Amino acid sequence: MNTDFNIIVNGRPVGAMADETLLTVLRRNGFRIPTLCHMASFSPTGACRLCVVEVEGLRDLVTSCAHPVEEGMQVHTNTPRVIRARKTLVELLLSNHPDECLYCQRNGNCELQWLAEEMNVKERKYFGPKRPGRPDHSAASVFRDPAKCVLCSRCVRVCEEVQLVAAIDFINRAGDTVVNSAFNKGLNVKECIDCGQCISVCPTAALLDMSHLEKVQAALDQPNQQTQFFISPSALVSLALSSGLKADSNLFPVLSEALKKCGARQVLHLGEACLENIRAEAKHLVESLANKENTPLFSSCCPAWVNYLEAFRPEWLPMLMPGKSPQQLAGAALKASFRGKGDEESYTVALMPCVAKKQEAGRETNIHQGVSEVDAVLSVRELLRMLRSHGIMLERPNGRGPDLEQTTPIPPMALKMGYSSGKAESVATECIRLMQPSMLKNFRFSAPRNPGGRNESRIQLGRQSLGFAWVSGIAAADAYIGGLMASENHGIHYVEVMACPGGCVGGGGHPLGPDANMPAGRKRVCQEMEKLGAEEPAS
Amino acid sequence: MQTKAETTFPDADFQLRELLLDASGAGREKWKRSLSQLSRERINKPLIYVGMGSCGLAAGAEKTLRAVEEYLREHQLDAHLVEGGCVGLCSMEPIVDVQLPGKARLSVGRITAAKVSPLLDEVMNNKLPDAEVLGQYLHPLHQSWPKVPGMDEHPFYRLQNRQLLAHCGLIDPVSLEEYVARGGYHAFSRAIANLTPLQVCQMMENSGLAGRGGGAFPTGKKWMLTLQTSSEQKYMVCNAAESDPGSYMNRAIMESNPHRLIEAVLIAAYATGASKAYVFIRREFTLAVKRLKAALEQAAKWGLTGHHILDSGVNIDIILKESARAFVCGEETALLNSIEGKRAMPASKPPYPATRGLWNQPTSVNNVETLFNVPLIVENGPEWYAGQGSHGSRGTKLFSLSGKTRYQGIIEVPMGISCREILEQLGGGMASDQPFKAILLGINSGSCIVEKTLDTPIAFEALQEIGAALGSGAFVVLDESTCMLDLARYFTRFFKKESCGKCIPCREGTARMLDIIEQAAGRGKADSGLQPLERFKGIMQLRNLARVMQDTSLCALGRSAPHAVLNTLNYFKQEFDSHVFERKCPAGVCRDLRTYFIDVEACTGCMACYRKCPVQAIIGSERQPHFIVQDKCIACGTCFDVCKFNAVRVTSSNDSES
Repeated sequence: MNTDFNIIVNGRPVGAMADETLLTVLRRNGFRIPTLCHMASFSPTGACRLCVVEVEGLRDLVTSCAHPVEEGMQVHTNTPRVIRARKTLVELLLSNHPDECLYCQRNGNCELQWLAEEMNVKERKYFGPKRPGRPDHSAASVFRDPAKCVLCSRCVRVCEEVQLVAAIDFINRAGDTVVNSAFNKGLNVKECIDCGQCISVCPTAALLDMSHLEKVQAALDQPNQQTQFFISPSALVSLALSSGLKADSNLFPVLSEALKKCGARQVLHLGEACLENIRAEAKHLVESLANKENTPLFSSCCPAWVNYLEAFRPEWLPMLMPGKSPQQLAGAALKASFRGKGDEESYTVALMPCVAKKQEAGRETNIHQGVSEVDAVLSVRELLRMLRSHGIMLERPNGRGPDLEQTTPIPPMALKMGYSSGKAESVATECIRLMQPSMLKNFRFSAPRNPGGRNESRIQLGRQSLGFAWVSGIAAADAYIGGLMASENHGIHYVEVMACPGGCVGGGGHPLGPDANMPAGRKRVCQEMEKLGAEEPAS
Repeated sequence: MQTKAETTFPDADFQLRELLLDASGAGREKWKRSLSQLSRERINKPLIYVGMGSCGLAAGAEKTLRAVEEYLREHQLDAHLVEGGCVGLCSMEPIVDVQLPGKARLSVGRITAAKVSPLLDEVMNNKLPDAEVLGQYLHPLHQSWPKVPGMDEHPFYRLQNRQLLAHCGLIDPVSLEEYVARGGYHAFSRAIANLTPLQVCQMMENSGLAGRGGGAFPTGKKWMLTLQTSSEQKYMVCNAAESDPGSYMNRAIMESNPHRLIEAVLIAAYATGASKAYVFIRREFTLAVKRLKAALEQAAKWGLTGHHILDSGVNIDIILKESARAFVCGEETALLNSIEGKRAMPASKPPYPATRGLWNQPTSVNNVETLFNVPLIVENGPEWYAGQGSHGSRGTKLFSLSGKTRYQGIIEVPMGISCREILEQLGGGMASDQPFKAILLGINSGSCIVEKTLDTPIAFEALQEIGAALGSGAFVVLDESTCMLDLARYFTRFFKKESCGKCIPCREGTARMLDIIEQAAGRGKADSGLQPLERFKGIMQLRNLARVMQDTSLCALGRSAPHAVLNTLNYFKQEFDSHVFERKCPAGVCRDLRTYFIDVEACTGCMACYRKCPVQAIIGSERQPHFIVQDKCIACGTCFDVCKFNAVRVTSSNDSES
């Protein structure tokens, strides 16, 4: 890598580029610098002060996350002064943190806990009263515990900078500062679109999903509840990655086996429902084109996006595709086809990479005469926890064992729904199938070549040109669609919108951890599985 | 009768416009006579000034004013009545000045409403009043009062060099005419007519003017940075959110001379290329806000703000923005966030506001006092300014002199004057027979001057040598009746409350620090055997906490929060020790360390204390001596207050000696 100049770190020259921050350079060169508030590609806030280093010639310690590099600067990353400062900061954070690690959902996966361990904190040196605020159970998807909040502002920045909604911000001052919605009203407000991105970035257990695990467990325990689980393809991929399983056609049978050991009556995947959803949207698009109705139309499978439109852009609601999302399609179909003996009831559980799906399942339109289409939604995190509590490891049998049931493989189109651009491609393919099937053979969905280009693809069908676009993250989506609305001849007919960055692979329900590349990794696995699916056509 | 001063000169309007456009200053000679009328050197009827700054109002100036009005009405006297500003000697307020035609202006202190009538009876009849005459303002055109010293001979004023305060308390603060007649706005008209922005910046650089908000950054350098950063829109921001405890100079000078601030902001905006200027003022400064608003309206009326100012093609808008009532609003990046409508939270620097400030545009942020210097430098030249002061520091410095001195108020001293001179001369020495203990020189800078450093001159380097800094301008004098631990507790509580909550060291550090101090100065629940050890551990942790807070806090608020504690630890360690180990408060301030007991001989058994004790810590029956159960006592002092026979005694230590 080409660098502009050298800086001296702990006596060793290190290459740096002019517009970089000190932290970027240090981390690239393998120096371990602890941070709590830093998020790559976000503006630095400098709130946690843990990334302090000593720079010769400067009186105060500098926060490396916000300090630009200068040629020849002499940096020391581990002087006694630096180490003492970091340790004291962690001790101060712990001074009013609840000592609940044993009961905490993030036990073993908590950045504060790691920091305390890393800084060699052995005793409670400072004693402070518990942080203000009570646990907030008000929202459908996100649970908030202000006592565990370290005020790093990661959630605040994600909510504002990526999701645009800015549903949460700091309230009060000094030790009374809490992160909450306006007027301290809790998260059950229209501004919160339930996307769960805040959970993904939270370093502690201050933000978690509203747990459906207990009611699922209760249903498993009831003899007359016939539990029917169905899993979304991207949740399956996420599960494979976090439990070290190879993502292949055996993955779903393995999960199915495991869930049945937990007591599930039936385990399905959402492949068919995804296809149904894609076909319905393609059909609606073709019909709209024929009737010369207003376009573009927006995909409607992402519940957070739907929430956003309802709360902030009601004028765009008419452009939202009608019809149910795959989760609700599957749930409704299962409930409709269920024929139980005696007092048997169907209990449907969706396994999702998403927390907004919990809110979607509870929408009034998805409950008929007191019967929910989907009774519970488990995030991948909860699914893993459930399997663990049943003592069941996800294990790969040798080859396709005789006890593994034969299941329909997941269709590639369903896997495509997991990442941004995939659904637009599938809907485009289905449109061609409906309008000009002869073109299908040579069709390749082309993504923009230049990286900064707009995510648009145009298809020529005879005299008709069709424009498909995809965008993820609400801030990007709002800006993009706002631009479309302002221009006359945008030529875009369909916009795939995913609220989470990168699509469902970046959803708020995946296992948590500091690895920022996880969404990209999940997308790669989705694509690998698509190839498998294409090689083994559905029998 | 006329109660409010009005300028009723037929050609005044024309002259003022001409004057404002006259960059050379030649017109002043021509209109000398009417100018001296506008500036009230020549008057044709008596003139009465009432000091109506915040200090005056607090001392009852409002009632004094009403009494003067009443007096004039009763005696059917025709006189001008001016609601003035603060002349600096706040402890003498309400101050009333009377100027009779042809006679020197006489200044009299402590004129409460009741004293108005006798005062005016005498002065109006040309008799020296029997009141606290502070002095007279000598003027060649005026006949002086016999046996009355000039104002500049008053000990409070003798060593002052009143450049920034020149007009404060003397003029009608909300009269643009009077300000112009006394030479105001000439610096600005000269700057936009004869000087380029670059030249003005260079002038500031050559003068050596350093920021007075506490950071002492060279003003010229800051302006130059803003000027040279290319951008279509630039901003000038005046930081008038003065909120360091113990300093109130900015408030006073804004109340007393708002036009000087407007002129300075205009020059600063012109020099930095800003077309929009914000005066970010603390919301609690209601009087300053009112007067600035009035002054801004006048300036707009005379075409001094807005579009195409004084036919020069320069456009500058000044917007008065009231703060969000938080200490942290005074921190420049938090201040900018607050103007933008965001939460007032500081941001990391760099980037500095001079290159990326308000709405990410180059913004020069300057303190009120710094700006007050600017018209003087433009008017008299940088060399003149550089010649003021000594010991390598230039210019003059304002201080809010307060605490246990004889006189208190706003002072302006030349750089280089010693702390002892301020204390003993300007302050008039200690107010009571309690001996001197320390001077707090700026709370945010944390400088503490004790007996052995009292001769240190007020200058940047000299103060640095003794580990102090100039600070923002508080000059709080303490005597032995102050408990340093109590003081540390007070300031730590202040900083804890005012922390914005963003960074860990400030948010959590201040809170833990306060806990430790309260433990040291408090009584604790039940004094178990381990408590002295806990207190001792706490004191050990204080130093570490203080150092980490100074090392890692995001903004100056967090970095300055531990100063009060460190001062106590560094200079008054024995006071800490006596609290922690001996459980004694030497100054007798810490209530929790007092012990109350009942003198058996004196107690009559009246049961008054028994009934009033909120925690039932007193036992005894009628006509029998009572007894206080120390384990239950919370040292509230109620028994002491209700005892009519002096039978309840108090000590500040645990061993019950009387």
